[in-house]
Amino acid sequence: MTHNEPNPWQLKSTRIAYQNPWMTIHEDSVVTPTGKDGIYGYLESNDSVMVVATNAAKEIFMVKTFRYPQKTWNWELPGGGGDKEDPITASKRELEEESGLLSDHWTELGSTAVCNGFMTEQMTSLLAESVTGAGIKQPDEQAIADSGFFSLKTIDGMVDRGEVNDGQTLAALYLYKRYLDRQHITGDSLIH
Amino acid sequence: MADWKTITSNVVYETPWMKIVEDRIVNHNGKELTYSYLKLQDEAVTIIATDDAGRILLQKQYRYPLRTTQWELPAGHTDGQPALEAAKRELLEETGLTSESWHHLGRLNLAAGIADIKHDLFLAKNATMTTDERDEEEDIVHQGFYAPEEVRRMLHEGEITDGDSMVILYKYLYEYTDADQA
Repeated sequence: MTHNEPNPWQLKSTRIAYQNPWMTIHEDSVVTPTGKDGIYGYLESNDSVMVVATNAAKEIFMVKTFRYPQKTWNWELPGGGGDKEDPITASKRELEEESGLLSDHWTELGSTAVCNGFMTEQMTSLLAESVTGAGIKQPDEQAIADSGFFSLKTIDGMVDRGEVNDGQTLAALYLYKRYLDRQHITGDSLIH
Repeated sequence: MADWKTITSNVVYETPWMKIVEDRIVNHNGKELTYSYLKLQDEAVTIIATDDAGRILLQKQYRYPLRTTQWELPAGHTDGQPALEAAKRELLEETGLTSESWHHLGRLNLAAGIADIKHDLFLAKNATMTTDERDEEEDIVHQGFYAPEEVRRMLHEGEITDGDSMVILYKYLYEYTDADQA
């Protein structure tokens, strides 16, 4: 969504404070909207994708993956950094890498700003329907302890119990429910 | 499958709000590698405040990393406080609102692969304006109460794309019932 309000921050100078292949930390010297000198540090990374992959029974594929920043195993949808690819190309690659699944039916579900105070990352959620198994290409490279197809009802229960708490996974699941409502014209439902 | 082990951990960049941590680790395959991530200095809170008519407070805020304004809910850092106390403070600072009816709606990890950012989500019902003073450091360009139907329309038409605001608004508008308060 583009808005027309002018940038209330004045940029004085900018430097790269840290960089690796996955992230660049920018540190901008700024004049804040209230006229004070300050710094704004933020993380630039590739935009990302999240995939809602459904089988013939409309069950959704999820993976239990290790997240080093939290030091925990989390149930999430497959997805990841886009390597500067377009969302569908990135999604096909991420889905195949994490699950060995293929699909010929892709639909874009919506866009999400992952953490707009500190990061530039925009996430695109995509739906891959009628997926078929092709075998995981590099299973050793993925920190995946478990995976499987779950009904939306089962996943709703996992969310309610706090077993699914990844913000990007939840955003993609809500965008999928929004899509289902539009398909079925069920009005104010977001399907349960 | 084994957890990843930390060998060394260094803060390579820091502001009052966040830091970049660069760790040497051993992953599940026994491979040694460098893993960097962003960590907030504190946790974060996001608040849905409703007035006595059930309307929801939304604000449009300029977000410097994206160079654009976004529709979102009041949010902020815990600054070392318990999450609920921080939510009360942030709501008052950003909006001048207070509430006697607070409810915890959940807890999120944002950007799990590249960051450690934990958000507690709160609902503040029957919020009332108690002061005209606002924290002038906040980058808010517009604020107002919107009927639930209008917020649903904004979600459906993709006008609200801020991650934590989106998730909590969907959860509140479509799944929350008064029974959940028990």
